[in-house]
Amino acid sequence: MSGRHASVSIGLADARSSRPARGRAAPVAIATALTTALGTAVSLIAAHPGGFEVAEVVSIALFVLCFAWIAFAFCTAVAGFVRLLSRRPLSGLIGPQGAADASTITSRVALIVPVRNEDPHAVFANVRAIGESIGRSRHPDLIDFFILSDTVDPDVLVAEELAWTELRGHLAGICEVFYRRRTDNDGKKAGNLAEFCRRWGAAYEYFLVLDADSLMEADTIITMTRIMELNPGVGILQAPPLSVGGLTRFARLQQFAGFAYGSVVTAGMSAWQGGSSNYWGHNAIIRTAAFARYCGLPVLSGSGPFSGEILSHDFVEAALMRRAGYEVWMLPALGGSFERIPPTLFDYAERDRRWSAGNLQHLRLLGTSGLHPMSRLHLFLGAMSYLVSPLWLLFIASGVAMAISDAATPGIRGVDSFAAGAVFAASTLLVFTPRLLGVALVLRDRDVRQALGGTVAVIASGLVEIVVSALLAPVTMVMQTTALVSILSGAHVSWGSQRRDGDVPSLVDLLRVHGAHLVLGITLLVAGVVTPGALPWLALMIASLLGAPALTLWTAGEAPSGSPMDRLLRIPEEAAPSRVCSRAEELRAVPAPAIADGLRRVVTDARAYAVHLAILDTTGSRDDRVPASVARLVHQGAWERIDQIDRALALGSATFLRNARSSHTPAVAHRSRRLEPLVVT
Amino acid sequence: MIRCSSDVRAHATTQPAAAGDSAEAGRRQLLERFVEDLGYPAAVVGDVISRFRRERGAMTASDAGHRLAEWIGEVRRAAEGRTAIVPVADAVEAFVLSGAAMWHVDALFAEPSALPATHRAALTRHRSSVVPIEHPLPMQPQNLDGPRWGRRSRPEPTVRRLSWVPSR
Repeated sequence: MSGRHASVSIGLADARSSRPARGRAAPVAIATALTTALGTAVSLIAAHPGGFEVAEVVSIALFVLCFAWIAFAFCTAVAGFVRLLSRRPLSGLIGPQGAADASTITSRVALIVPVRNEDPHAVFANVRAIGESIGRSRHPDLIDFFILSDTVDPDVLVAEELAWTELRGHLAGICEVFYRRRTDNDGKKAGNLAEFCRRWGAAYEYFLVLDADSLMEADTIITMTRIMELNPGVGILQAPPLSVGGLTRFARLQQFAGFAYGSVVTAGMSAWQGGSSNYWGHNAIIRTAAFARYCGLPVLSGSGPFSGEILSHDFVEAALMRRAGYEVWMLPALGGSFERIPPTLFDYAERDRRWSAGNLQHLRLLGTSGLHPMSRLHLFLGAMSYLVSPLWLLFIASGVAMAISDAATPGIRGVDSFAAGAVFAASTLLVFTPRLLGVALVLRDRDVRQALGGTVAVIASGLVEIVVSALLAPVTMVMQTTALVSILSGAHVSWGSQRRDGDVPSLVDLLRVHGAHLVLGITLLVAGVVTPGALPWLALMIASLLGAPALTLWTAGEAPSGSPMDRLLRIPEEAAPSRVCSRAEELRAVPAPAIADGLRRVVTDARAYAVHLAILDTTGSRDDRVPASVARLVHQGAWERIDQIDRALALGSATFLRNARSSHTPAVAHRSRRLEPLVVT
Repeated sequence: MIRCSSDVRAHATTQPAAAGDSAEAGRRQLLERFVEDLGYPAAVVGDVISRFRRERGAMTASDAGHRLAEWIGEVRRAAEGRTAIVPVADAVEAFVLSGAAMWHVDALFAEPSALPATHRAALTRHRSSVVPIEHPLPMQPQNLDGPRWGRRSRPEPTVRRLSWVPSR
């Protein structure tokens, strides 16, 4: 396999290069500017026959912004394609000298797993798989796990505690697995990481952040640690994760796109951003002392969507690390770094909504003093990745308005059809070229090509992905726009856990979520009927919007085993899964213990009681008074009548639990008078 | 083949006596519950009970609790020379927190000196091992304000602060 899919060769130069990131970025910036200028010129020609009214000027301004966006993505992909094709080593970082050096570290590393109301079975299966991988490495003694729990759901919380004891039993003799629970959720995930640094940061030179669905090979973790040791000027090193484990059509489309095209774009970003790259919040190693000193996040003053706790903390932390003079690198060639992706469009939209709320906040931080220009660009691009949706929508709306206006004025020639066609063709080319480049790279690599089912399967997969993503684009555009509108109007954005195993959406959900799509689709259809000239331009969008519920339903399902679709959209990880992925899959396949009533478990189950009390002892939680009514219900064993808030309250009080346990045990003995009492109380 | 009295007792428990012997069934049930509470997967509970009865002579949950406490005490003596008596509740907590039920069925019945050092250490630390000893690192919120130049020394105008608007 080529270097980009292998985990050993990381393609780093042996010596430092002083070539600044600005120099690397110049070709991409110039190419983007030239492409945008060309597109703008042709769009001006296209709009000229009708003259330039206010509507035309607004429409062209919107077009320029949207065209610049796709031109930028295109140029980044071309840069990545060139980088992957040339296989030139990445300069600016010192790499390990051979495999032996790559696996020799002397620093202590904490692998931290922030969790909040996640499925404990899935999370701990991933952690165990990583832990076992570390057990096969040379340095398990230098690596500790920290499960940093912000879980508030009382039932998940108790299940998490029990899963933790089992995990540390499985990993005994390999590495330590600590479990830290916070009683407040200050700062959300960023606050969770900061709390780790404040309490244990001095014990670890580096920490590596793992999401609940992250997987990493020990070799990758150790190589990253070695690179950090060799490059004291690097603050954050990101290993871009490859999406794996998808079963639904939606997830498989996303993971194929991530593998084939995402890797081209990531290579492009890495190539022109160099040591001013970004950090994606997980699967990245961080220099602890620098992070603690320079990356503490404040709460943004005021109220509204641009204030409060910083939601998308990763971009800001990377910017602060860069401001402090440390470099932030992204190394796509590392390999051995994986994540799972949302299984359905609804789950994807839910995650997108949280991310868009966070990225929108970044607009306020663009003027932060001392930031590196590249950091400002990252913050801007992060916000733009969501703002571009309403821009596209406004552009389409203005185009339709112009077409209706022109149709209503006899004798006016609306647009130059040839120039408009050229602009449309150019836009299509810019959007789809990164995909074509990705497929070309896959076809060029014989091993990868075979792993994906051969040339025909790769091309067919590419075509399917292009068609479906073209159909999904208007749908996600409307979803992102409505999300932005609700965020800006002050709607609450919860930072809950992501549903990682999707269910097929119900008809009610489909209509509720896609109501806006259907309304817009019908509106555009009417506009198309009124102005038949505009109909061909709008046809794909109308079809997509009106078919949105069917599209969501179809993508949420799984392709039948052995069907043609099942043979498409493969990634090499499916043919030859990495050891950590297959082990995690194996562990996840074991039937999960039921997540039962947490309070009942702690009061009636000696094991849950012992673990919970021991953990509670470390949280420093206040022994809040539990209402007498709850105590009464516990005594009566009327568990189903205790609501979630009261269960959580009761689980936070050691005194209450001790009393409940001692009062409950005789009740058990009383009911089974002939049995001896439980010995463990 | 039954070789000794403890084998007899173990055999008796694995071969249910006459139906209706509810006292024995209850004892068995409580012992099962005790072993499950230690964290053993359902598939090995029967094996652990048999060994408790055969090798430790523990016929009841209470016996098993005391045998466990004695064993944890021996492990701690082997690990760090501590000789204090371990209460049953502490022994259960230490066993559960270490995740020892995930090691091997043999672990609970092994000579403490035969246990791997990491397992001995895990059984010795109990409650203090939920989180490690703190090694604090100060982490202050950074200033994300814009550049100092050009900033007004007066409070920024807001819709509510109309009085800020110059009078002329």
